[in-house]
Amino acid sequence: MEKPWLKNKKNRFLLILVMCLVLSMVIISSAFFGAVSISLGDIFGNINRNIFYLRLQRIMLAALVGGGLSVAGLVFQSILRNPLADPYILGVSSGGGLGVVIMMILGMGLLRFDALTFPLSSFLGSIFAILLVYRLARVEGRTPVQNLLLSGVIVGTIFTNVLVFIVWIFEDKMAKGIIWWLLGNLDVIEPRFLLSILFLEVIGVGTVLLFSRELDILSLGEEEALALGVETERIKKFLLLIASLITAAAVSFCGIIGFVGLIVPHTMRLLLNNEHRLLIPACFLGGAIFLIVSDTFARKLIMPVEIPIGVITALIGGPMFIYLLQRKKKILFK
Amino acid sequence: MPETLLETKNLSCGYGEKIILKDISFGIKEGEFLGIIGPNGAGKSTLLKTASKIISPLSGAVYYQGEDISKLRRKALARNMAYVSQEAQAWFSFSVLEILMMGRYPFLKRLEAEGKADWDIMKKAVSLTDIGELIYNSLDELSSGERQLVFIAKALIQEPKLLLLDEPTAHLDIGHEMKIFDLLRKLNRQYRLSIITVLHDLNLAGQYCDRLLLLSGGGIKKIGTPEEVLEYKTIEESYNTVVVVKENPISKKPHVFTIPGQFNK
Repeated sequence: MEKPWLKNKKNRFLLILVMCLVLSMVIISSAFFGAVSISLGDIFGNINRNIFYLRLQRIMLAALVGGGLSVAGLVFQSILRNPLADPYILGVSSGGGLGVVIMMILGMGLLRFDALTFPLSSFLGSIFAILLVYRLARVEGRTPVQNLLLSGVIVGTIFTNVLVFIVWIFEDKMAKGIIWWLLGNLDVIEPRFLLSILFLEVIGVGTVLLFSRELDILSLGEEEALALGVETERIKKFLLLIASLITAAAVSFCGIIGFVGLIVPHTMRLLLNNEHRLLIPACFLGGAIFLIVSDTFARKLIMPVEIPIGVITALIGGPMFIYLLQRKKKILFK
Repeated sequence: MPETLLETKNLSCGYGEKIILKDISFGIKEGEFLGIIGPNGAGKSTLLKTASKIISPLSGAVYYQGEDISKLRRKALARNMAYVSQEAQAWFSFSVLEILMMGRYPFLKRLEAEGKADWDIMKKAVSLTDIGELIYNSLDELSSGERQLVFIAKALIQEPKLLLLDEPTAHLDIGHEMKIFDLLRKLNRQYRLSIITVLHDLNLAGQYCDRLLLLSGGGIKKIGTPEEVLEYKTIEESYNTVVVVKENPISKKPHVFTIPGQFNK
C-alpha cells in the first residue's frame, strides 16, 4: 500500500502546501458564511465588522481545537498501537470536562484567572482519566485493545454522568449554558481564551513533532524500539502527558468534541503513509479544516438554530468508528 | 588475541518474580559466531533479551567491552549492538525504506535529517541483503522470509559490532533458511561481525556456529564447539529423547538424528 507518488520528497512538501491552501480557502469562505452573510464591503462597516471579527476568532478557535485534537488522537493511536484510539473514546475528553466543572464549583474565587485555571483543571482531569483507563485495561503486564476501548468507554461514560450530576445539583452556581458547552461549543467568550489555547496547542503539537522519529519506531513494537535505543517507557509516558495536555486545552474552552482525533488521523494515514514527520503536520491541517467545515455546517444546516459542534462530529465520526472496527477486526483481534 | 565483546557474570534473568535462568556466565569474543540452543522454555530468548538490555537482569550483569550495559545509554548501546526479533512486524504500514532508515536512529540527533553518509550505509546494507527490489514496497506486502531480510538489513544499518538474533529462520522454508544463514556467515567471516543467534534447529547450529551454548534446566548445560556440545549423551539429557550423532559427510560437522518411536515403547 505504499503511495508511489510520495516517494518523491517534493510531492510531500507539495501536499502540505496544498493542505495549507485548502485551509486558507476554508477560512476565507467560512468567514463570509454564517447566520449573517457578510460581503467584502461590509468589513468596513462598523456593525458587520464586529461580527466578522467574532467569526474570525471562532474560526481560529476551530482550527486550533480541530488540529490539536487530531494530533492528540494520532499520538494516542501510535503509542497504544491501535488505530481506534481517540481522546474521546479513551475518556480523556470527559476527564478534562469533569476537571473543569469541579474547578468551577470549588474555585469560584479563582475565576478571574480562568484562562489558566480552566486548562489546568482540565489537564488534571484528563491525566486522571488516561491513567485510570490504562490501569483498568492492564492485565498481566499487557494492555489488550478490547480492554482499552472498553475501559475508555466506561470511564468516559461515568465521568460524563458525574459531570451531568454535578451540573444538575449546582445548577445555580454554574455558568449559563453549561450543557451547551459540554456538547462542544466554539464561541469565543474572551480573546484571552484564544491566546491561552493558541499557546498550549503550539507547545503541545510542537513537542509531538520533535518526537516523530520515536513515534515511527514505536510502531515496530516495544522490543524493537528498546533495541534501537528508544527509552520507550519514558517517551510513552511523556507523550501521553502531552497528548492529554493538547486535549485538555481544547476541552477546557470548547467542551467535549468527539471523534475528530479518530476521523482525521485515519484519513491522513490512508492518504499519506505513517511517517510521523509528515503525518503530524498533515493531521493538524486536516483537523483544522475538518472542524472549520463542521462548524460552518453547525451554524448553517438548520438556520437559525445552531447545532452543537460535538453533535456534528459525532454524527460523522460514530459511523466511521463502527466501520473501522468492522474492518480492523481481523487485524486487531487476531 | 581477540578481545571479549560481550560477557555475562553470574547473570540471573526472567520476568518479575519468575526466575528462568540462574548463574549464567559466558562471553563472546570479537568475530565469533555463537549459537544459543536448548529445549523449549529453557530461556534462550530471555537470555538474548537480557543481553540486549530489552529486559533487565534479576541479578548479575551483562558487560559490553567491559562496561555494565545497565549503565550505558540505550542509544550508545544501539550503535554497537543490534537485535533482530523472532517475527518483527509493524503495527501501522511502513515502506521498507522507512523501516530501514529507522536503523539510523541511534546516530541522529533530534531534528537532524539523514545525510548522504546515512543513505550510503543504507544502500550498502540493501545490496548485502539483496533486497534492492523491495525497498519501495510496504512491509506488509512481503513474505515472512523477505521481511526477516529487511529486519536484518535494518540491524546492519545500525553498523553494529555485535548482532543478536532470536531464531531468525523459525518460520522459514529451508531455501530462505540457507539464504539467511549464508548471509550471516558472510557477514561474520568477511566483515568480522560478531553474531549471537538463538537457534531451534541443532543441525543448523552445528553447521554455522563456531561455538554453541546449550541451555537446559535453568542454567548452562554445556558451552563449547559443536563437536563438544552436540554429543549424544548431552543432547539426550537436555531434550529428554534418544538421538544418534553422525558426521555430516560434506561439512564434517556433527549432525543429530532423531529416532522415531521412542515414546510408544
